[in-house]
Amino acid sequence: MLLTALGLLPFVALAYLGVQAAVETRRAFANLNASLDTLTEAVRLEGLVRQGIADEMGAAREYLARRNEPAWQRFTRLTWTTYENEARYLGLPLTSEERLAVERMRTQHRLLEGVLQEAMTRADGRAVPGLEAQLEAAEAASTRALEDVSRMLQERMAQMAGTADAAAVHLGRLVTTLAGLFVVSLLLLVVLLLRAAEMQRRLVEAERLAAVAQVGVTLRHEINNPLAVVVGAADILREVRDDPQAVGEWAEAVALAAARIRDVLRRLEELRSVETVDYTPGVPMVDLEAKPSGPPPAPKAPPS
Amino acid sequence: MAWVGPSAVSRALTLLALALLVLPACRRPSQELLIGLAVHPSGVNGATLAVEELRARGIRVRLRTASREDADSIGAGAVALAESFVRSGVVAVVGHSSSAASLSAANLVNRAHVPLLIPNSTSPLLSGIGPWVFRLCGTDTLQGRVLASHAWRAGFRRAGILYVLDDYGKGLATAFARSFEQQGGHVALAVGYSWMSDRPDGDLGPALLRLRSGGLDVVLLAARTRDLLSLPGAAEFRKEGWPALLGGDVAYVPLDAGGVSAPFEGMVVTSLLPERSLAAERFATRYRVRFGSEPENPSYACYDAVGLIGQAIASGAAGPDDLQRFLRRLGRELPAYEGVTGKLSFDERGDAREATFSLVRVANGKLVAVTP
Repeated sequence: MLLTALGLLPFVALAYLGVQAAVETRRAFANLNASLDTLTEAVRLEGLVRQGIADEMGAAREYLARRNEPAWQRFTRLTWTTYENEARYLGLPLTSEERLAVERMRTQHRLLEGVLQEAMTRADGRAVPGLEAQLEAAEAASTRALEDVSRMLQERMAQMAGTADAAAVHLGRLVTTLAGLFVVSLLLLVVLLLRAAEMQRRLVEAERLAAVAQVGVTLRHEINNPLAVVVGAADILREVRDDPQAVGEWAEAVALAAARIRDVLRRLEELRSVETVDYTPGVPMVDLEAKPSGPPPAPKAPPS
Repeated sequence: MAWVGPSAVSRALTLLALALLVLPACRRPSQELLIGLAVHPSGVNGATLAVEELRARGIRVRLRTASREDADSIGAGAVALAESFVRSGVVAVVGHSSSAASLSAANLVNRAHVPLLIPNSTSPLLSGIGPWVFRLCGTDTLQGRVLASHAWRAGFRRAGILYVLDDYGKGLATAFARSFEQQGGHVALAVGYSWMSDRPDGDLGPALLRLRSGGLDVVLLAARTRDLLSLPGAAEFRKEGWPALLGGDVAYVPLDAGGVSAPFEGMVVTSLLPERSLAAERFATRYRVRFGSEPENPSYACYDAVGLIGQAIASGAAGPDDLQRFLRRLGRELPAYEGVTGKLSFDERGDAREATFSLVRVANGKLVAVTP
């Protein structure tokens, strides 16, 4: 029982390790998944902001070219929508560097909007001096800031791919280790079970030998005495063969001794449970005087 | 030896338990705690008054203030200021002057694990920006809705917006426009302008001309008085024919206006203070006695921010970690803080749970409650 429990112990440990590994793996993949969601959303918002800035410039240039109010309205709405997308972008769980890059992008975008808005506001009156140069500079700075953000996103994507690869390798190793541990545990269990069976067999053998020894002691004790009578009587009978009375007495003694031996053998045959008494201190023998506790023996069929 | 009965033992145990409960509440750090203050001058007096009152109660705190230029700086400047506060071992930072500056400083305080208590930066971008950032006021989204509802109720249907091209201006303009148009109004014209540092040669005149003569019912100024009045072309404000003016919480600050209130007379602006607050009135009285002038919006919020820190210290907070735990527990295990700007506790995104905006009107250069 104890050996079986010991044999199961590695499996319990294995199960614990397996559950722990599964929880850790699940957590790692959840983190990876969350990062992937963030990245996907960041890429989407970066695209929207990029498009928004391009559309803002388009609307502003259209207004500057034709002075049509809908273009101004469109410009305003676009700046607000882009602002909201930038705000959503900043709301993502970004790294400090990414956040700073997005902040730089927003600053450059704000500067570009400022130039565009001032040009549009002044367009009814005097022209903005050096407008094209200012626009070009602001646009270039805004584009550079956007490229910074894009580069960071690409770096993060590469990092994520690396993390995913590392996680897969880690998981593979984990599965291999667990499989190895399982095989080792199985082998250990088989060895323990074989050893348990061997010990059981030895125990039965030892018990059987002990019983034989007890029977031997009993036979020696119970049969030796009448046998001594028989052997002694045989010697005496040779000497007193001419004395019929003595022969009769010693023959009677031999018969009594033989009957006693027969009685011992019968009681041995009728034994259903073994009770022992000490023959000498530490040497047990079967107690033939004990009352039989088992069922009576089945009647033997008469010899045919 | 006299036998001590079970009732005496239980009394002694009760007293011991009470003592153990009371002692932490009485525990105060032996050393003086520093609070970094990066706010507009209109808020400094409120913070100063709060510190004086705390010290009178035996709570040893001291302000480490920033210059106006530093408090106003955004980007790297705001980060550098927050960094200098952190290096000097402040228990918390109260600030900054604008949403953009608060946004810049937020990342640093989150990394340094120092609570940032924002008195009056209203950008929605600050919501949930980190576990160490706590905002005492409402957001531009709420402010925009309050202003749009007021404009609609006042019968205005065609609105114009003058907004500064930063987080504050864009956030408030967007929130107002969305809410106003949802109610049936129309934003006919919106003009953004760059901040002075971006466009030092900028001219506000043409933008103001378009707004003044655009046939609008109302114009929302999602901007700050000090920017507007300092820009070339601001004289346009003094001309006749302006539609009704609305503004956000910093659209008109008497201190910034420097007594130049005429262009903004009658303008309705939002206020961070609840309407008819007894606590606010009491604070105003103490402020007048102490400084001889009327308190401005930021002073109320700064007073509350410093008072909140003092309350945490009185409850046993001895450092930034304790303070953050205290702020997070407000309104949950601890009752909300009763400030002059209302009850203060924070949601999981660090925003004030019960933040609200009331409406006030510029009258003779002062801000008075709008009577319905």
